Amino acid sequence: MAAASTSAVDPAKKMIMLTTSDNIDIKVEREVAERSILIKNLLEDLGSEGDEPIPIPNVNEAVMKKVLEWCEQHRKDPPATQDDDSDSRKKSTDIDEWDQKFMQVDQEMLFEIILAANYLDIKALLDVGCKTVANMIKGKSPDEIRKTFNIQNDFTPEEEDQIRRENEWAEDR
Amino acid sequence: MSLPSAVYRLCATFEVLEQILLYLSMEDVVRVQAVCVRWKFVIESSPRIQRLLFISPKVGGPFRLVAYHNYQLDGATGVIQGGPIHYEFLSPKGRITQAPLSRLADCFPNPQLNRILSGFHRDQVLSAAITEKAIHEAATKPPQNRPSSVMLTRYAFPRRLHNEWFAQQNHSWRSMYLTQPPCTAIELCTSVDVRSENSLHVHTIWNKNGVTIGQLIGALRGRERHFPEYPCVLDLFIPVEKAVKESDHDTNGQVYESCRFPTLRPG
Repeated sequence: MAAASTSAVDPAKKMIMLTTSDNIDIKVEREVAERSILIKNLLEDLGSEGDEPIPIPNVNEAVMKKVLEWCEQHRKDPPATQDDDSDSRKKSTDIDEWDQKFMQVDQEMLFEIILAANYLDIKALLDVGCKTVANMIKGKSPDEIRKTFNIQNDFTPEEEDQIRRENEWAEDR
Repeated sequence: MSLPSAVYRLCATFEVLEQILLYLSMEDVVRVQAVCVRWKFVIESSPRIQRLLFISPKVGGPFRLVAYHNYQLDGATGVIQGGPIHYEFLSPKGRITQAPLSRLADCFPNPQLNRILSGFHRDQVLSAAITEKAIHEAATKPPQNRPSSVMLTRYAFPRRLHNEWFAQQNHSWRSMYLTQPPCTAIELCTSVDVRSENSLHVHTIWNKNGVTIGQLIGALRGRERHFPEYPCVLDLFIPVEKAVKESDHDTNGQVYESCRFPTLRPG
């Protein structure tokens, strides 16, 4: 029976199948895929076999491959520490070198990776993505930020004027 | 099927935009409110960002420092005896809770005070965070004439208070707390000459919800009307209130010093 042969394999190394939003099947080692808490929980709920492909309807193939590349690199990282909801200022926006290189993608892909990390519940990847975007925002004026990210200014002129007057003191001179 | 752009979906996801904004400095967060309606909405409705901006109190709530009746200063030696000093905070549900000082270890003065009090001469400003260590040091080695307060921070005035900002009633710093978690009383001492006792002017501000920067600036402008000389130093102290300990051991209920400060009341 198949069970005899699979039991010999290290369960962490067992291959599982993910089906992306564009209907592509991706084979990946279980340990790598389990960096995603969503997939980990799904696998646990589905039972240990995991032979059925797991549908990931919110992430396409290109983004999924990129996310799995990150998971592969970080497969041995210790699990995330308990969600600290404390307000202790997250001053540091330092990003390690490998992650910095990894995040050097076009903006559309960067945002897709962040959204996928949020959906798949990969906290460390979400943090790295958010830090990368925060570093792009730092020190920029609202107008420069809108240009950088292609965001529409949807304030009325009166509202904009009021916000500017309320916060002019925070502008750098 | 075409999805909206990634940036649109990113901004639409509250917790992701919130997380990004939490990595910014206070100044940056204040500034980026002007980007678009969505960003302003997230900044105004995220409790974590509002706490970062010193607009909502940290979990715990506004606090005051309290010393119970067995706490006293030896007038001859200047040494604090007995103790301990507690702090009391008003929880969001309106309950007053006592806690040891160690819980106050990360109470900080508002970093924007530097910017506001001194225009942009930030390098001329001296400031220190109140840490548990600083509080204990201040309590055990009280500054002369100020035995019942804890030094928060000291500012040197590089220019007159007629700063163009101070008259601005709608500036957003007005509603920011002076400290986080917010203190409910602050003593401000201004002096024209650091060495002269005669030039010292002391004023206390109370706010049971937490003293704001707007209140401090208002008091400084009031001082300027009454004492037109140019002050050179501003010291901020958090007063330590003396009170009776409500415990079984307290048989006589003696009050060492009548309460100098209004009692913090819920609601």
